[in-house]
Amino acid sequence: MTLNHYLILSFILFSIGVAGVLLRRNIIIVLMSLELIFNSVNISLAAFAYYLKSITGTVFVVFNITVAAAEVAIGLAILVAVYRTRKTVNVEELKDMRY
Amino acid sequence: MNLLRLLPEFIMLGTAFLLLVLELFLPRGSRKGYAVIGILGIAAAAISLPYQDFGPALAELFLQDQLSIYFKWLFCISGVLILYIVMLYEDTVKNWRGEFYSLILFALSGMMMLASASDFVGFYVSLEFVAVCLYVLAAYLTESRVTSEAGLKYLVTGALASGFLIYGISFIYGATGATGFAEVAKALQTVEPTGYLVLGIVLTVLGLTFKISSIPFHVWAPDVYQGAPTPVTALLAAASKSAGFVVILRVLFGALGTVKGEWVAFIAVISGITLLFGNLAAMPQKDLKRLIAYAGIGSAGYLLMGVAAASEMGAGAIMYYLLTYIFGIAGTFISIVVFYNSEGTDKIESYAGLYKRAPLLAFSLFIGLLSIAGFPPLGGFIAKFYIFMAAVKEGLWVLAFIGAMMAIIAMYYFLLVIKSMYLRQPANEAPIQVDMMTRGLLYFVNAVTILLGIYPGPVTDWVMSIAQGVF
Repeated sequence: MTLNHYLILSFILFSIGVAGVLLRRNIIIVLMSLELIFNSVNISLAAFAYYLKSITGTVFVVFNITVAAAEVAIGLAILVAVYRTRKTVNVEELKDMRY
Repeated sequence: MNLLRLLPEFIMLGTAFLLLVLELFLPRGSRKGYAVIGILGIAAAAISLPYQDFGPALAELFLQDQLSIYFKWLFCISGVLILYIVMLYEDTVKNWRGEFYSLILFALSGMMMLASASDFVGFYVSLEFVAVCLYVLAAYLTESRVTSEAGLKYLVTGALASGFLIYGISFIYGATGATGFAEVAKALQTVEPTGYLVLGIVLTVLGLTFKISSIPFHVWAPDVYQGAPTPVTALLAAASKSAGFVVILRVLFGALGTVKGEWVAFIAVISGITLLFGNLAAMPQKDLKRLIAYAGIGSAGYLLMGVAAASEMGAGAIMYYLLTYIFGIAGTFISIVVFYNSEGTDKIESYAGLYKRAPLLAFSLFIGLLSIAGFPPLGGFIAKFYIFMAAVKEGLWVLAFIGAMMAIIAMYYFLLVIKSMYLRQPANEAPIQVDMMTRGLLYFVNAVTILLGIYPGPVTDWVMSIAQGVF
């Protein structure tokens, strides 16, 4: 296992996450894909930290987990507000504002 | 380790927590007192600014220097103006809660931390702190369909951009083995630019475009500007954009300044597309807040032109531009809120004949919008002039040409609004009442905008001297 193996794994997960955010229509799955993006970056950071023999990357991973958790928590809260006003969690129905 | 250098941030945070706690003890009802406490807190933070000594703080995660002090001044000014806008706005909303004020103060203190971030860890955490506060603020009126929609769009785009940003940071970390801006810059003097580094720079720049609402992460701006509560729109337009640019100055000029060959062309392309898109898409808009969103995308293009110049002069021009932009936005949004309180709409057609109903509101919109468009002799014109000078000096002729063309288009769509305010007949002749304090503030903001245009000398000297230390 070299550094590149980890980076390729991280890249594949990142791409799946970005594709999920852009293509899926259900907001809950979009939020799951966002979580996947943040965690793929954690793999990349941890791999760099291990191969560079530097502790900073590992510390960064801890901060990143916290930030991702905060962001998804806010996302679910807003999602509940959206659901209460519209009774749907489909991205395509969020189009009240045009011009 | 010198925590006193973070005193302004601590004062802001303390005020924010105080407001949260006060909510428990004070009776429900008007929240105007909260705004006064908030403004006093910001004033206290501003008073502590000139007494700050320079140097690193908190294990070198943060750095207090002239650049951070300048941007902290900008955040204090916009904070006071925005809290005043909230005070005007809250009468129209049922079930208003005091936490709105504390969230704004949290966001502002996060921006102040961003201004002095000097390490990718501190920078990323402060950025997300600001972002999380702004997501909540944008979706604050949960009963409203458009506001919750705006908040959700802001959150999804913002989180995606954060993902790009942190992915880019991980590659920069991998290429240099450091996260401190100064250490990264030092490592890059010896390390040859590798594929990892270029990938890291591209992803980091893409992630940062979200905060300044430029291509490709501009998609949130029109919907969020239109749907969010108006004070939040003002906060996004003025303070959040400044925070994005101080970060860009720190990261691109400070940390990655030694490898500027790798990013200048990329920034120039983003700037050109942003200029074209923002200004052309603004033309058919019918909602004033949405129009300002597109104009804001255009402004991000101009500011990126200063980044693409990658010189001290470009950095100074950006700083001056943001100052004039804050005052232009403040004058415009105070008028928008007063108009909304009386009419309940932001549609441009309802502004017809405003001059006959409230001459002062029409005049502040006139000054504010034309300053954003860059009309001489207002502040925005001088700022754009410096941006163009910086770009031309570095040989970015094509970009400067696109910018000049788009400045004319910006003049066109803002003058359409102004024409309908001054020359058309109002549907309803009833005058709009503006109270004394708002009047005074509008006179002050307009005077500053005009003064920044006709007598820019002291401020431009100041920003240019700060800009010498950016690289």
